[in-house]
Amino acid sequence: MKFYIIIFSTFNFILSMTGNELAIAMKEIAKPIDTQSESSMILTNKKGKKKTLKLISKSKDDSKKQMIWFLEPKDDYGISFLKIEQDNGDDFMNMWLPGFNKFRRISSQKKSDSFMGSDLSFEDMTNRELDEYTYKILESNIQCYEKSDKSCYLLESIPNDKDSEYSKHITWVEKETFLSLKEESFDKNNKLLKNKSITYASIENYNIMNKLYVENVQKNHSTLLQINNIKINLGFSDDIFHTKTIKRMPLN
Amino acid sequence: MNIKQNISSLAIKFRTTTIIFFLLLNVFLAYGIQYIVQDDDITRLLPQDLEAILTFDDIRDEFGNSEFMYIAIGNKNINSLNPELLKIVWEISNKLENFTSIEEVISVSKASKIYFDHKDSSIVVEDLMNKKDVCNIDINSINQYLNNNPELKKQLMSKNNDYLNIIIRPKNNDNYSIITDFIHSITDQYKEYELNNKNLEIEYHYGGQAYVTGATPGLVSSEVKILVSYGLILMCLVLLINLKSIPAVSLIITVISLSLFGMLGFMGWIYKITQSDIFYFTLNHTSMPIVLLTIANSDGVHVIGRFFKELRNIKNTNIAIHKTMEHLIMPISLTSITTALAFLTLIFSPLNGMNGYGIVLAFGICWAWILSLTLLPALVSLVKWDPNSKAISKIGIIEKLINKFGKLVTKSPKKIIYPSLVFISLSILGLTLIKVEVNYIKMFREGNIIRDSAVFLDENMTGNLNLMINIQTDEEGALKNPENLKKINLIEEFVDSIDVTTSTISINDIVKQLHKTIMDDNENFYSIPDSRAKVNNLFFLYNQNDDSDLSSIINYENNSTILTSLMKTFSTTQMAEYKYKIEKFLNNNLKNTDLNYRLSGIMIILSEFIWLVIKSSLISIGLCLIVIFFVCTIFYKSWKFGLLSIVPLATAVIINFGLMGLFGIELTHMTAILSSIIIGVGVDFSIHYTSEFRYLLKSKSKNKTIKTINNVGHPILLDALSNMGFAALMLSAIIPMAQIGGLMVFAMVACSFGTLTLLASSIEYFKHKL
Repeated sequence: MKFYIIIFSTFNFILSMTGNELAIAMKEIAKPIDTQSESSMILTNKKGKKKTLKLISKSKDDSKKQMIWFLEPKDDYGISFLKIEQDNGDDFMNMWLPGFNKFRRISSQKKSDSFMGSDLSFEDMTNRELDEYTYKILESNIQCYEKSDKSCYLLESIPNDKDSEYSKHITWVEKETFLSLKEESFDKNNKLLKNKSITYASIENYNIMNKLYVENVQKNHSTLLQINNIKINLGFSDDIFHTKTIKRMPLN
Repeated sequence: MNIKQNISSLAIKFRTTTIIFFLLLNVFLAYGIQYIVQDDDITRLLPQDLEAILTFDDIRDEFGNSEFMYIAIGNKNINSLNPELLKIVWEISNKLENFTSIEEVISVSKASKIYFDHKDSSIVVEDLMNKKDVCNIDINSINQYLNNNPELKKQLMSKNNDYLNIIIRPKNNDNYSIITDFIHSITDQYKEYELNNKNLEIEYHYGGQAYVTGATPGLVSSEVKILVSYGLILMCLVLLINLKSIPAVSLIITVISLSLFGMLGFMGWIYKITQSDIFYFTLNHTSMPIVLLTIANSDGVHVIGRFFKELRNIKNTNIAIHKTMEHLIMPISLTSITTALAFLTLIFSPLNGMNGYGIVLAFGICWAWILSLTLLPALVSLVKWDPNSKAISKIGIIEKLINKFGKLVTKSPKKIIYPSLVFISLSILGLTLIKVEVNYIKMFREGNIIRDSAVFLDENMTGNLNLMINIQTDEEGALKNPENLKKINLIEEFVDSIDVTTSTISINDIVKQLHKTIMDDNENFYSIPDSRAKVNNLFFLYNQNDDSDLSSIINYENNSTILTSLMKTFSTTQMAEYKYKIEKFLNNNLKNTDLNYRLSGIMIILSEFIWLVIKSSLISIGLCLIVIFFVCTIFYKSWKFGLLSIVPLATAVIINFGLMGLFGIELTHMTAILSSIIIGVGVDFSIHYTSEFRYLLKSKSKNKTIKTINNVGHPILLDALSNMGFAALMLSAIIPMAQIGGLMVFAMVACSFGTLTLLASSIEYFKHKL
């Protein structure tokens, strides 16, 4: 009996995934080359008051290049945002302020700043590179949601960058698809800061995020991002991801 | 002797049962003391439908609490921007911020700075002090930023740069005393620090309306406990000197003490049952034990005084106590009912706190009445009295004086009435000079920590008071309109020009600062942008920062904002004047706009409070006199006696408040309570007098006035003299409390002489018409 247990454990150890391998698997999920979408962002403050923002987004290379234009509220119409992630981490982020006819550069050092007043920070908007985190699987077989028959990995990701606003993330990763379904992010004091949950739409065999809910539990503020009219593989050239493009509202 | 069956005779008959029953009942009542809730939120004293309170609550719901606590920390003439003190401020601020009852801490270590980063052309909002251990370069940067932002500097540092300010915003207004205790527990951990190899003892100054509210109950309750004890000791001494009998004094003190515990217990029980905040124990309620003790004392003194008189004649304890109670049951009942009803009229007071005050005191008076008619005679009958003892057999000095005095009144009543009328006329003149003051800080003597700290904060920091102007409109986002922001700017400039204003905070401070920053830190752009699009962009930019939070200044819909003016402490009488000026300015400047305004803040609440104190005093005095008149008219079946019953107390009230006006003693919500004492005690005296006179009227005996004065004059004077023990309150650090002590002496003189002179001579003068 003891022999079988040893054999089974060894076999299980060989077959089980490491945190890093899971992160690679998540990274390798098939993604479209580029996407275009119309989104609404509903912000809810601690008193339950809501503010709705509408925006158009164009992105490429797994959102490493991204442009966003604000349509609503009308006070923010025309404000736009350009992000180009660099391999050295010194990302280029620029904002167009039509009222002043000026660009405002967003410092890549201030990762904790809010993205457009939402509960998403610029750090949340940036892709997680494999070498920037230390990954560990906490559970290999956990229910993804209550009363759900889907199984998930529980993945812990600890940022290597000391300037990160987080101490760690704990992510529920669906075993079948390697999609992250929900996540808890902890602040530098290891206190829960944000709860995130994500849903996906299947478009041309790609699983593309169509809803993201983020709740800042410390500020009692939440953001619901709903992504609609998702179009993929439109053949955007790299050149359009430029400051001069974000000065004008896109035609479609 | 035929003993009439009444409650007292039954109590005497079953004395052991009576004593055990009432002692147990009192223990049960007193058990409720543990449920008393102490609270000194000034806003809870006021009617909750008052405009200023509604605005205050709305502002609190929308923008958070608007009452602050301040801690000034540093050393005189030593630059507070030094690494060691900054480190302490950092630690204290962090500890305070982590306390659950605190919403926000504003200090040099918690403030944000907005600047233009030339390196990457970005606007940055970040911590002014970004780490605990700062070097000289960091300090220079902080100093430079504060010098460029004088309004922020005023809020964070003293004028001479020698103290740093920590501003604390409590989450809500029911935990102030817990927060003040917590603040002290934190600051006590930092007593000194080392600077240039020298140990410096840190000076702390605490202030702000929220702090005063939190710190006052503890201070007041400890003072009241000590001073009321002194008052009781003095009362015992006066009674002992006059009655010359320890058992007699012990019985009086037992009954009044039991009624006090019973009343306080009732206060706890009724709060536990109703959960109504009118039954909170506030600063006003500190006078409640004194009021009850003085009134309850009257019943006891009359019973013992009469009992001694009867025992002197009858020489039989049982018969003497029965006869005493038979004689006194009516006047004691009448005085108790009228006084209780008089206090119950406080339910019509516009001041919430006074409603509960009236109900609880009315219960206390009724409880003292029940104990005086049952427990006291039962206890008296239990004691073995020696009719031949000096105390009982010999007439005391007061009694002798009273007998002579009676003769004087009957001889020439006009000689007493006319000078009295002149004195009353003078007092009426004094009524017009009376000043009202409801500012808590002004209620503490110089040398008291609260007063001194408040003075320090007024002189060196941004003061203790605030005014809040809520500017709003229906249209969402309308406050991003530059025209509206410019109107707010005008208002801010006007408020800034008021001499008591030390600093103002508004949304414009941030808009201007952002405008300057986005325009490459060009000082010329420290202004409201000229287009809405620009203002929109500035708001958008600001909201992106992690440290940004405009929720305490402007609402989510951007159509309601708060302009806060921080102010030095000043007299509440001036507040109405400033309020009028501000309202006039706002009406003129906002009349052709979509903007509406509402005023709130401590300044407005205090100015409303003044009128409510006056209104409350007038309503309670007026209603008391009417109620007493009607009750006495019904009992005596004579409106003339009803009218005579209110003569001494009405004159005592006029004289008391008149003298307050003439001597510059301010009417506060605490000294206003004196009218209740006067009425409570005054009605006792006049009813005992009129009741005795009417009793003698039936007996057709001669020299009724002399006999009345002989019979009731002694207990009246003894009661008045013993109540003067509360002159001990004059030692209080709380000015109105000390004034109550002083005025108490006067009130007793006024009430007793009002009864024995004005009432006695009036009855003597009009005796043929009665």
